[in-house]
Order: sequence, then structure tokens, then C-alpha cells
Amino acid sequence: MRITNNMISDNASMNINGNKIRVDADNTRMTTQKKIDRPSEDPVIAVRSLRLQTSLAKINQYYEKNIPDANSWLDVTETALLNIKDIMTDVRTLCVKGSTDTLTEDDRKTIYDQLQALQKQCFAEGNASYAERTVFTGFRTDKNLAFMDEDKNTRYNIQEPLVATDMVKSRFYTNKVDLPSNATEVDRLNPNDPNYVDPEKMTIDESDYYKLRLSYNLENVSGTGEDTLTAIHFRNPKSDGSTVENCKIDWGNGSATSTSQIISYTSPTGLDSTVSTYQTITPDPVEYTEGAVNTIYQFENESDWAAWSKMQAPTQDEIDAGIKVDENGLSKVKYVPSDAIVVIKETGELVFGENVATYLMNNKKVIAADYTKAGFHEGELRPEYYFDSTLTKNEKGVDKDVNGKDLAIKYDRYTQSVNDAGKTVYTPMISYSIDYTISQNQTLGVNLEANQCFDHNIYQDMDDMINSVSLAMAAHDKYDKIKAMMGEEQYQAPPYPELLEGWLKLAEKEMDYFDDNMSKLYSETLGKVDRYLGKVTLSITDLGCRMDQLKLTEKRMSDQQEAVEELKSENDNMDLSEIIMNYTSSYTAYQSSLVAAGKLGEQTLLNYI
Amino acid sequence: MSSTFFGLTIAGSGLNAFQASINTTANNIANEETEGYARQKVVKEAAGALRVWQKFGSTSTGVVASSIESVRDKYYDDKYWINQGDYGYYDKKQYYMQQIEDYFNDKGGTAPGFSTIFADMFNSLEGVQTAAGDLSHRTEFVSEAQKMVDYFNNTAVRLENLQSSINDEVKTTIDQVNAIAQKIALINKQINVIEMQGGIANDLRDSRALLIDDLSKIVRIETDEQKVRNTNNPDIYTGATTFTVKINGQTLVETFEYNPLECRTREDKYNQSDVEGLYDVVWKKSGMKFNVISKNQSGSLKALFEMRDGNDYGNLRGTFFATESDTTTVSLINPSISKVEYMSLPEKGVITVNNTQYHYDSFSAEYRTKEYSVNGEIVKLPILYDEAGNEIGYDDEGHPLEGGGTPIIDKYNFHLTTGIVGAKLTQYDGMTVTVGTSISTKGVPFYQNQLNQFVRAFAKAFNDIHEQGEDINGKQAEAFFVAGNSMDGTQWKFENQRTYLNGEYDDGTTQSYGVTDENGNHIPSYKIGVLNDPDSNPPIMLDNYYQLTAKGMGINSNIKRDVNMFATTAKIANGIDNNELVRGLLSLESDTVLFRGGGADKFLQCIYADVTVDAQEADVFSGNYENILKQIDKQRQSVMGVDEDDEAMDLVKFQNAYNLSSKIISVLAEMYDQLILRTGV
Repeated sequence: MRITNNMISDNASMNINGNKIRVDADNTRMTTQKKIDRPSEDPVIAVRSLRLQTSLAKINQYYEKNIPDANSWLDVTETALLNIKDIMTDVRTLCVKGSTDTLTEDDRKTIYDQLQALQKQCFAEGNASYAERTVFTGFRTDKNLAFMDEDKNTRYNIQEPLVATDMVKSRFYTNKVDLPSNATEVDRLNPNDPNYVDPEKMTIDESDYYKLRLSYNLENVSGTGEDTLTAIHFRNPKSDGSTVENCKIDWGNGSATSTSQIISYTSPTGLDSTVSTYQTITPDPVEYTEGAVNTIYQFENESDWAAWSKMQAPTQDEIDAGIKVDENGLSKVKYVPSDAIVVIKETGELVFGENVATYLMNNKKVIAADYTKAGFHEGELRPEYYFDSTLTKNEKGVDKDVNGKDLAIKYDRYTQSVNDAGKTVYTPMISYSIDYTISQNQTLGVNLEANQCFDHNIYQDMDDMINSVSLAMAAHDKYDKIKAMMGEEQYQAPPYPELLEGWLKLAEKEMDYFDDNMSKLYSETLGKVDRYLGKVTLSITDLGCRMDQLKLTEKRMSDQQEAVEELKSENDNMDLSEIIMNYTSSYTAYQSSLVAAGKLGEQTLLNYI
Repeated sequence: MSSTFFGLTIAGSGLNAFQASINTTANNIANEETEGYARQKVVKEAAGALRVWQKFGSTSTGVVASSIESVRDKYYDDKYWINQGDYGYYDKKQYYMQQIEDYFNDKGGTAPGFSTIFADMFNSLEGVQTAAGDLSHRTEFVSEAQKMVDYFNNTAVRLENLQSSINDEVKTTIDQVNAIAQKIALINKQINVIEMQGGIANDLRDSRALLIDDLSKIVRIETDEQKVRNTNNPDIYTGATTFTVKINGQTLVETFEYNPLECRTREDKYNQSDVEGLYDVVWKKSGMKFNVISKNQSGSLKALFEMRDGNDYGNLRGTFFATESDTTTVSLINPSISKVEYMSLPEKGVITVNNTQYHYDSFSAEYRTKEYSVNGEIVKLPILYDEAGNEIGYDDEGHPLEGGGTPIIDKYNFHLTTGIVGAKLTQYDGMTVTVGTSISTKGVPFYQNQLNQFVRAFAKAFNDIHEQGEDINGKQAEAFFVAGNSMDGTQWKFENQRTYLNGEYDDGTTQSYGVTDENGNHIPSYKIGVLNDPDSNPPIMLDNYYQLTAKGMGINSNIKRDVNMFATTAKIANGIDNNELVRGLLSLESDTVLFRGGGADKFLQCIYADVTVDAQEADVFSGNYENILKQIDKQRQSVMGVDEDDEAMDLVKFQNAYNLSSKIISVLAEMYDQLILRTGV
């Protein structure tokens, strides 16, 4: 083949160019340390790189964001639970202290003060938040668990299930000593005094009934008088935690007969007199099929109940069972007919007559109470976290928006379904779990809901404890005051010492009853508090398990992150020594092609002719 | 006896010939670096012998430089031109494939592409899952989603720009072809002028070959040169030649005449996302279309068309169907595209039936329907199908059962600008109809379609979940991803197409597919389209996913303004952190089959597969053809190239010969001196 000079030089420059391309490619690799610059250079590497990049981004999200976030959340929850545990422990200590009967005035005062403080504090801890998100409130992280301040406007319709087997026998007291403040009043124990009061009427007396208590007192915090119980449902529990409704007594919508009566009464000394109303509810025999209950009485407070009781004549069976009656056959103590339920709105108590209590307990019924509650105290739990409830007025006291649209919000804790027999079944809802994805296909619920860790009843139990200590304090106070009067000069002349002795005896009896009540109640409560503590401790353990799980996953994610990073680097990146070697060889080739080209055309035939 | 002075004549002829040779050598050396120059050589012949009536018979009369010829081999030229075409094709293709590849390349942090942006978006959605009520997480998600939307908007616009720059290049390329054709015709004339007077127009022929070198890179060519002979006496060569250049079998240059091409702007788009003003190439004189993309074509022009128009057969095809009562509305049944997500036809365009083009100015698509009883009335509703292709019915109130399904388009109606006469309607019935063009390669329209299909499938899946929810204020959620309405700047929110899953609309209506009339009543409909035809019964739903393109995709402006309108749950009363919908949305990242049989996160992998196959092919073949080209060029150069050493050798040779011829003259002079002055005296 004939070769011309131009062919040689073209060839040379082509070769130089080829070498340059290689030097350029190696140089790009050296600066980026990547195997490829564009996908078409090696689609397999490119696609694998994309996949690894995506996995790495995911792992980083889990390892660097979700897991630390979950961890902090769990930490905050744990701290709050530990605080609540401390509060419970304090309450427990007070229970122990209060149940021993050797308390001084100061002891009682301290117990009273501490209980009040603890009651407010207890659920305030439940408002614990992480990054401005409340941790115990399920998905409603923007809402508080408990009312932060007294709230007179908010109104709910609540349906609270109560378990019959939770009934406890409680002591109810009638009659009290009206403390005399001057000689005239002291003289009232004198049979010759025109204002003579029979000491019998001031002698404290006790009757015992089974009771259940609503989680809220229907004590008219709002002042609108809207608080009221409107229905009682009777349900049968099933082993899976659901309940089946059998029947109900519902006077809220008129399906049971309800009448209001006026009751007026004055205290034995005539100093106090009150006019009040109460409701008598008779179940509709068609709708109500359970039996045992034939009347429900709803009273505003215990005094109304006491006044009403004194006008009732118990049956012979009831008298035999221990209801004390006077000479007219009327009850001397607080009275619940055997087939009735008495509702005390002020304390939220449902007091059951003997037959009713026995029936409900023996049949292990669940009793759901429908009630309206308007106005809440500071520290009380919001009902939506525990019960099926409907918010019918918001904190501004508004129930409709500007367009007249109903603002009511319905909150569900139970799902309703109808079984084959046509009965409604209530099943507790799966909890509102905030799930964090902490690794591929693995989620961790980070939140504990309030109803999982603390019992609603603790608030009411503390209420009871506060009441009983304040009663005891008042009784002691009366006793001490009479004692002091006995030392006063004006009462040294007869018949006052003798009369005061009488007063003192009455006061002492009252004091003994209340002391007894307090120590009994505190030791009863001790058991409950232990249960509550158990629940909190269980939650802390549960939380601990989750934290352990998180730690394990974190470790695994850290390993995976390393592994994927390594894979990615292996896939994408060149080995530096290899790049340098390649680069050096390409560069050498380039240089030598330059040298070779340089020699070309130096000499031609012309040089020799 | 020959002339005593005959030797002088012979020597003179030598001087002449070698003078010419030296001149030619000089010319060769001078043109050593001239492009397209073929070395020339002087053809020398021994001059005719002369009978001199001597014993030795005749005597030779010296040398004649009969012609100066270029040394070229036509065989190599042809090979070179064929290969030029292939090289031009792949070289151009490689250039544009690299650009497309660059648009899709994902380099992670430095130049994030789809995979990175998509993963970021879903990571921020994971953040929303951990704290659905948290404003900052919501804002982060919406802004990451906006990044994804931007990615699609930008990529679509870049592809559009690419398409329009390819289109510009088509224009300049056609201009170039015309210019070359014109020059060739001119040169043909000059060559003939020169050659008819005898001799060869070497330099002109070199120029012509050079022009054809350039032309062959653009289109595949065939050349043909014929000698013109005297018609009366075919043995006599007139010196004239005809020279024909054909492209694609059609004549571009016919000796002195040339046939220009012309770029004519298309009236209608062929694909939905095509830019306006694409050119078709026609022969200027006849107006016939110049078919660039045929199998046996090559050259850069073909590559340009393939990149500009390639849709990988993604256009709509089907069977012609007409009712004789209406000649302006014709229908297409058995469509190749039966889902809204895959629709690629332009709003206005052309349909081709029986090789005739008809323009349509609007169209509508009809779902396959069936009569269902709704609220006691019989209404025609689209049949919904689940993934396995089983029919899903409606309940008594017209809500789809089992969470709904996908309707299937089984008919398209086109409103033509000019009607078809009745006889033709019958003739066309059952024939194949094509909307736009079918081109097998993957060019800009193919990638635009892929983007559109992906965003529609993704947006629909996302919206279907999102619309089940309530925003933070308890209001029914709107579509999250919406389509920009280029006509009035508003957004299409697909409200008429909501799949009914979550109770009733605000207006209390119960139809899942329908439109709302002026009184706000819901009317069931199974027609979707682009034109609001007031006479259509049922009415045509304009607000459909066909309106969504990668270029026009956006995020619902209400949600962008107030991120609290992003819905994470169907029941906000359970709390703002309720997030069951987010879980559903998260499954769209990879668990739900959305695009080409895979999860959404596999989008770029699919595109990579397409891009890299073509880019690699273009890369490898352009390299190969370049090598072959160099080889052929080498062979060609080997024949026609000028070599210094050769020329130097020639120089020595010719100089020596010239010197010797001169020497002969001086020797002869001495001889005459001897003979005339000394011998006779």
C-alpha cells in the first residue's frame, strides 16, 4: 500500500487524540474517583448506584432522623411516667400515713395540703410534650391531656362504662353537730329550752351501701345546671374485652318516665334551710328488661339525699338488714331502697340498693352511664381520651359556628357493631398509635396513650381522700372548740358545764366516726393506689422494652448504613491506586505518542538530494 | 530519410513534457495540504512514429504529454460516501442522546436527578408520618414535592427546547442540502464547458467530490455520471457528461438542474407534548413529502428526525368507525391506548386513514359503559375493572364497589375541520386510523410521553388516596397534584373524576363519574375530552388527567398557600397526628405498581434502560463508523494523496529528464556545428 506523509501524520494525530481521550477519561476518574461519569458508560453500575443511593437515603432517614426522634419521644414519655410514679408513691405514702389513727392536727393539715397539690399535679404531668407535641394524647398531640386551668364553658356528653365488680361498700353518714357559738345556742341541749334539740337528731349515724363512682362529679362547675345523668345502659362483658348491650334506662330522650320533685328541709337547729329538687326515674318496662331496678333517684348532693331519706319508710326486710328507723318507721340514716339506684350528682356517685348491687355483681354487668358534664376543674382529664364522648360546647362556650353549623365533635374509644342477635357490641378501639418507621418494614409505636398508663379513677380517689380528711379535720375542730368553750368563764356556771359535756360527747362521736372513716378509706385506697402504681410501672417496663427494641434496631441500622455505604463506594468509586496506575500508563502512552509524532517529517527525501 | 533536425524536435518534446511534469509536481506540492485535492499526474505517451523510408523503418518522434489526470478511484469514493451516511447518522444521534442522557443523569448531591429528588420527597413524607400535625414537617414535604414537580417541569421544558433546537437544525441542514445541490449543478456546467473543449476539469471535479463528501454525511446519496455521446454517431464522445445525484431514490441534481427541498411548518402537532412549528420536509417543486425516516436511509438528517419525532409507536391507532349522519365527527374504535394516563394524542392534530390526512380540532374519549340502576334510575356508567381485569359494579347509589377501579376507553371521537364525504365514510369503515405518526425510535416525544405517563399515574394514585382525607380543619381534601390550565392560568383539580370512597360530596351528589351542570347538579358522564361541546350528551368532562403533563404539573395552589390543607387522615377528629393516609401514600414509593410494571421509584431505572441502550448504540456505532471511515479514507488517500517523497523523487526524475533533453539539444547543436561548419568546408 502506498503511504503518503499526510497519512502518517493523520495517523499520528489520530493516535495522539486517542491517547488524549484516555488521559481525559482517567483524569475525570481521578478527580471524581467515580468509575463512570454518565449512565451509558456502564448502565449496570449506574442502575445499581441509583438503587444503593435510594437505600442509603432511606437508611439515613431511619438512622439519623426517625430513630433519634423516636428515642427522644420515648425519653420524654419515660420522664413523665417516672414523675407520675413519684406522685403515686407520694400518694401511697400519704395513704399509709392516713390509715394509722394517731394523727395530729398538723398531720391532717399536711395530708390535706399535699393531697390537694398532688391531685393538681398528677395529670399535669400527663400534659408532658416533646417538641410541643403532647405525648399521652394519641394522635391529638396538639391538645392537652388534662385541663390546664379551670374551664367553665366546655361541655361534653360522656358515656362511661362502669364495671359492677368494681363496686365497693362505702360508708355514708347522717346527722352532724351544729357547733354552738354562744350561750343561747349551747342551751339548746337543755330540755327546758324552748329551742330544744333532741341530741338524737345530731348524733352521727352510718349506713353502708355499694357504690360506683363516675369519673367526673356532676357538680355544676359551669353554674348553668346542665350537669346530669341521662341514661344507664346494662351490658354483658365478653372475654375479648367487648361488651354487648342488653338494655337501657334512658330518660334523657324520654323513653323512661322521669319526674322532678321539690324537697325542702331545715337543719335540726333551724339555722340551715334549703329547697332543692330531685328526680325520680321509673324504667319503661318494655325497654328495660333486666329486672332488679325499679326506680332511680337523682339528687343534687348528699344533704338532699339525707333529707329525703328521713321521709322514707324502709321495708321490714331492709330494717332487718340493718337500716335504722325511728319510732314512726322512717329511716334514720341515708337510705337506698333495695331495688333502687341513688345518684348523687355532686360526688358523681351511683349508690346501689341491696338487691340491685347483688344482681349486678353476681351477673358481672357492665353499666354504662350517659351524662352531660359542663365545666371542668384544673387538672381533670379530658374525657375524649378515656370515653366515647361528644364535645358539644368548646372552651369559648360556643356550640355553633357563624353559619349555624353544629360544631359538635364526636370522639370514639369504642367501635359499635351489631351481633347476630341484633344487640349492639362495643369493642374498645385499637389505640391511636403513632408509628415511626425505624427500618425497612419495621415500625415502632412510640406513644403510650393515657388510658394505657394511668387510671382515670385516681383523681376521684384523691377527691375522696381530701373529703374524708377535711371531714375529720372539721370534726376535730368542733371537738377542740367545745373543749375550749368548756374552759371559758361564761360557761362555768351550771347548767353549762353539763350541757357542754353533752355537746362534747356528740362531737366526740362524730370525730370518732370520721377518724375511723378516714383510716378505713385510706387503707382501702392504698390497695387502689398500688394497682395504679402497678399500671404505671407496667407502662414504664413496656416503654423500656420499646427502647431496647429501638436500641437494637439502631445498632442494626448503623451496621446497615456502613454496609450499604461500603457497597455503594465499591460500586461507584475507583480504587485510587488503580486510577493512578491507569492514569500514569495513559499519560505515558500519550507522551510517547507525542515524541513519536515529533520525529515525523523531520527528514524527507529532499534533505538528501 | 528523416530530417536532420528531427532530433531537435524530439528533444523539444521531452523538454515540453517534462516542463509540464515539473509544473504538475509543483502543483501537487502546492496542494499537498488542500482538502479534497487528488494528486495529478501527466500522462505521457510516446508520440506517433514517423515513416522515414529507411531501412530501420520508422522512427519515434518523442513524447506527448497527452493529459493531466487526477489519480482517484471511484470505488473508494462510493464506499466513502455510503459510510459517511452511517457515520453522520450515528454521530448526530450520539450528540443528542448525550444531551437527553444528561437531562436524566442523577449525580446525587451535586446534580440531583429523579431518584435523589424522589427519595428526598418520600423521606420528608416519613417525617410527616412521625408528626402529621407538625407544620414544619408538612412544609418540608410540600417543598420537597414542589422540587419533584420542578424536576418534571424542567425536564419537560428542556426536552421541548431540545426538540425545537433539533427542529432549527433541520432547517439549517435542509438549507445546506439545497446549497450543496445548487453548487453541484453549477460545477457540472463548468466541468462540461471545460471538458467539451477537451481535457479534464480536475480541480472542479475535486470540488464536486468534496461537496458530495459533505452531502453524503447528511443523506444517503447515489451518484451517476454518464458520458454524452453524439446521438448520430454513438462512437463519438462529445466530451460532455451528465451527472445525477439522488437522495432517497429521488433526484436532487440532474446535471445543470437541481431540485430544492423545503421546510414546511406543520399545522398540527403529532404528539401531545410536541412544540409548535415543527417542520416537515417537502420537495419544493412538487410539494411531495420527502420521507427522511425510511429503512434504507441514513445520514444526520435521519438522526435529526428520529430524535425530534421518535415516539416508539406510542401514538394512538385504531379502527375507523363512522356514522353516516355526521360527517364531521368520526370515531376510532379498538384503540391502541385505553387509559387516560397513556393518552399521547395532541388536542388538535391529524388523523391518517387510507393515506389521507384529516385535521381534527378537538376530540373526546368514551369509556366502555354499561347500564346500571342508580337510585331507581337506569344510567349509563363506565365499567370499572380491577387489576386482574374483573368488572367492579356500583352500589344502589352509584358508588363503585370494592373501593373502585379503572375505566377503559374504547372509543375516541374526532371533530374534523373538513368533513368526509359519505362515500368515503363507507370506504374507510374498518380501515386503520393513525393519529400523528408512528416512528419506531425513541426520541424526544417518547421521553415526553414517558414523563407524562409517569406523572399521570403517580399523581392519580397520590390524589386518589389524598382525596379520601380531611385537611386539618376537617374539610374534604382536594387533589394534591394538579394540572396547570394554560388557557386561563387556573388549575385542573380533577374534581369530576374523584373515585367515590369517602361518603358524599359537599353537594350531596352520589355519582362518581360525572360533571356538574349550571345548577350544581351532578350528571353522570362517561366522556372525557378537551372541548366543551355543549350539545354532547352526556356532557364531556374537561377536568381529567389528560390535562396533566410533566410540563404543566403543579401542586394545588391552596395547599401550597396553606400546608394544613394537606390531608393525612380521613378522620381528623381522632387527632392531628392521625396518619393512616400517609401510610398509603408512602406505599406509592415502591410497593405500588405504577409505571411499566414496577414501583414509582423504578422510573429512572426504566428511563436509564432506554437512554443507555440508545446512547450506547449511538456511541459504539459512531465510533465504529468513524474507524471504518478512517480506513476508507486511508485507502482513498493512499491513492489520491500527495506524498512529499514521491514528489521529491519526481522532481529529481523530471529534472534529470529535462536536463538530459536539454543536453541532447546541446549535443545536437555540437553535431550541427560539426556538420555545417566543419564538415562541408
